Amino acid sequence: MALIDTIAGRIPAARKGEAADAASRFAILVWFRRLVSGWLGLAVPLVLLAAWQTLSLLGVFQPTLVPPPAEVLREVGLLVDDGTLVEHIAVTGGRVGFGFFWGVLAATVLGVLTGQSRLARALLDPTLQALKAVPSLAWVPLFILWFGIFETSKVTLIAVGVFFPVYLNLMTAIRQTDRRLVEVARINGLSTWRTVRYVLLPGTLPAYVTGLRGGLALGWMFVIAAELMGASEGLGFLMVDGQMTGRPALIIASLILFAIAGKISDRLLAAAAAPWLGWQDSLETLEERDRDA
Amino acid sequence: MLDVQAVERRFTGRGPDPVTALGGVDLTIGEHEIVALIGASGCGKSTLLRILSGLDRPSGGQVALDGCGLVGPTPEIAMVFQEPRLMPWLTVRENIRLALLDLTRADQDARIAEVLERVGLGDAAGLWPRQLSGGMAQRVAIARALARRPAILLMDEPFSALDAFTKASLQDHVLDLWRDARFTLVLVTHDLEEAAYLADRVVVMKPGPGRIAAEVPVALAHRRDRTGPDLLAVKRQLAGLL
Repeated sequence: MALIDTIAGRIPAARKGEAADAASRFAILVWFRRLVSGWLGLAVPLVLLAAWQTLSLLGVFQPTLVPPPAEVLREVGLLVDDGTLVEHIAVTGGRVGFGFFWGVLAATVLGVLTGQSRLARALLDPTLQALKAVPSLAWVPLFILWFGIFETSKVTLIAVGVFFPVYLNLMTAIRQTDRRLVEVARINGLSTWRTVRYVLLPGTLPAYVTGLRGGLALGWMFVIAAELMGASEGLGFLMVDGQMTGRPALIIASLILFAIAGKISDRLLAAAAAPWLGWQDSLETLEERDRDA
Repeated sequence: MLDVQAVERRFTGRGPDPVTALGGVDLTIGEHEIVALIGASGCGKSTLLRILSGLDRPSGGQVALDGCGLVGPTPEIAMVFQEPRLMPWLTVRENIRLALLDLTRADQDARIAEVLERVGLGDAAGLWPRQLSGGMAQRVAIARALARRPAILLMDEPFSALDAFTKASLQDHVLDLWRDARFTLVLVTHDLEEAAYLADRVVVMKPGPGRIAAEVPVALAHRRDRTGPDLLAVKRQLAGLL
């Protein structure tokens, strides 16, 4: 509105109506541009979808290997009809959720500990860094042996995946907290608790959120590994099922559902954190980028 | 009155022997006085200021404020750093509130409005630090320091990052604040003109170990002529001592 006022204010009174028209045209243009950039991210998937459909119709793709989009949609429809789709998504989402919760909890406790205390860092960090180097799938046999083939081993595997990005980001952020801002807190007589609340916490939050988002992405990655190694429900199970029963449409449908679920959960996390990060110089660019994605 | 008695400060350096940043400094600063500490880098002037602020502790000797030994930061003594040091996640208003957390909410708001008005930023309360120019940010830092109504304001090269025009106008501004709020001002600077323009007394320090080499009283009325012969004479005298 300020912009509209400015534009209108610069024009002589007699032409104010015209100016208001110009201003509202400008506002509409801005609004339209936002809308377009918001939906721009759908362009590539739509083009790919069109190419996929066309090539399928032309017979370039073998339907037994690459089914047409309609077939994939039908497969999803079947799952919706017998009511199992929601169940599969819920099961997979639940595994990611639990794994995320425990991974974040452990990472936060250990990250704060090693970030704050030199002793804890010297003691724990080398071990954790070494564990980080172990490929995720290498844990699978051990976890199955320890926790059985049911939920516990799956959730543990996901938690391991979530743990490292969160831990590393948090520890680094705490270590890099600006000493000069802590001095401001000290000179103003802030208690330890107030220093944590007004200085340390907000200062480390951006890196923490980055860690959470990275951890969540890895959580979705690890849930696949967990479900491929043996599950009777979940999106990963659907994929194995599709492979076993020779239904590529089901595999592709699960892939797409994974992409959507991952994207939605990431946006929810980012949106939940956004009100606390509004101060950042870079957030506008970040949002801009997100909107384009 | 701020009384510095035989203050020493040693740091454990890289070598086997500790580095002596301050080797026995004695200094008395009277009420409503403006004292400038000048000297080459490494002379301990910033270390001395940090000890006065309570952020650093002397290895030997003591600092007394109105007869009481200083053991840490106190509301009586405020500090403005070389950089504004505003929390980027708090608005101007909330940054100043940080200095006032012990007051009631209403008192906080009244104080914030008062000090912002005083530094000429009455309209800036809702802005974020990233939206401020260097000069504005430093004014907010000064407002935050004054919000607690300190008896002593310490400033560590507060204008060195600013351009010449902003610097001159902020110096005058600080003089106005000093006249109104009647605090004692202790200022570290490497700028001879700033020292000669602002100070009632200039303390010249020398390194190895940091100590006071000379004290130069400046008996000129404030709002001095920056380019006049009196100020030039003071500057020349200070340059000779460094």
